[in-house]
Amino acid sequence: MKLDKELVAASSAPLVLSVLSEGDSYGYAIIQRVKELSGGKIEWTDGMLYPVLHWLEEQGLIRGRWEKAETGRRRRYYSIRIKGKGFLEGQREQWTAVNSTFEKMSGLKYA
Amino acid sequence: MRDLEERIEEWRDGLQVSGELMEELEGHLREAIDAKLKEGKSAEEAFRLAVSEMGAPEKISAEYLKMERGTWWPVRAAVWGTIVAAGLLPLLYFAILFPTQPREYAWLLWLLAPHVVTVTFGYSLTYLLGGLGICFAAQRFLAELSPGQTRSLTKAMFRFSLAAMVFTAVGLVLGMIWAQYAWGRAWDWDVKETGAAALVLWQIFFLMFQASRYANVERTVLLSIVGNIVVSAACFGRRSTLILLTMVFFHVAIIGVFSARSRATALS
Repeated sequence: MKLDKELVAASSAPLVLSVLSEGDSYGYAIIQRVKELSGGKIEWTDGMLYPVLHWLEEQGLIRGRWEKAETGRRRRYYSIRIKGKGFLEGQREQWTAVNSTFEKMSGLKYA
Repeated sequence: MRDLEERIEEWRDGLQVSGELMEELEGHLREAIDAKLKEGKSAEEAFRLAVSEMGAPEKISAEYLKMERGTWWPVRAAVWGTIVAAGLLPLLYFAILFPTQPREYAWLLWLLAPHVVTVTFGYSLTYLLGGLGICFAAQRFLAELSPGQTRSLTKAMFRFSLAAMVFTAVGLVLGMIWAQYAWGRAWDWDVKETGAAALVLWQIFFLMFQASRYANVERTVLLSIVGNIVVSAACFGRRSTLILLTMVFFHVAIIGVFSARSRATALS
């Protein structure tokens, strides 16, 4: 199953923030983490993650820094900022509201 | 492996991004390739899979162009020019106030000076709008603006035309007050006054157009260049027919070239 384009666009920012709230991470690892947590159900086009990351950085929700990776190349790590945590909290509430409504409805249907 | 390096190089050429962003994207691609090599895939297969997971280069570039919120440099120059000019306005004010004129008319200058300052500013802003329009027309021959830059232009155009309208209108009223004392009547249907009034009407029309649903960047730019003709008529209508005609000819030529170019790009 692949998510609709609109749903990917709406959910990518909160999902990235969610991953970063576990700890600092970088592009490739963030994608892998989302794949893993969704059981492979959420598959992003890898390149599209970067515009999201840079938008979040521009908005002051995350902070990026270059670090030398074990491969010898530089890697850009991102960490969530306080403003980002607040934003994530708000997003989580909204997604939960949608989700619980759906669940209640299907609960009624099959009751 | 040399082959793989060459192919990564080719992939990089397809991306219209540069600097650290390129480094980040390339790092990602290399990491994905490494992971696939570790899984036992051939270099060829690993590269192909990693690139397809990455997505089409033009899509990634397009996403960045959409995000780019940079201000187009002529817009930035116009904003700074206006700030500097506004700072110099008091100099113009005092230059009018202290000339060598018979002292008995000195009090009239106190009425004239604010009129000259505000009208000059209003006219200059209108010329500035046309100047931005000409910059846009010229830019068309080099490269298209990014959506962010286009937004910065249309936003600046609206603000500048609002300021131009307010200053010209205030200047016109101040001029009428001065005329009431100096000529004995506020309105005389002379070229200067009528020109200023026509310009205010034009500016109101231009503002309403920009707020309407018919507005797009090309039409707005076209009208801003037409605005230069209107302001030239108000400015040089009495002083120099030669300058006025030159201005009209110059701007009509630009409009002609610009619309021909716009049609050509629309057709291609």
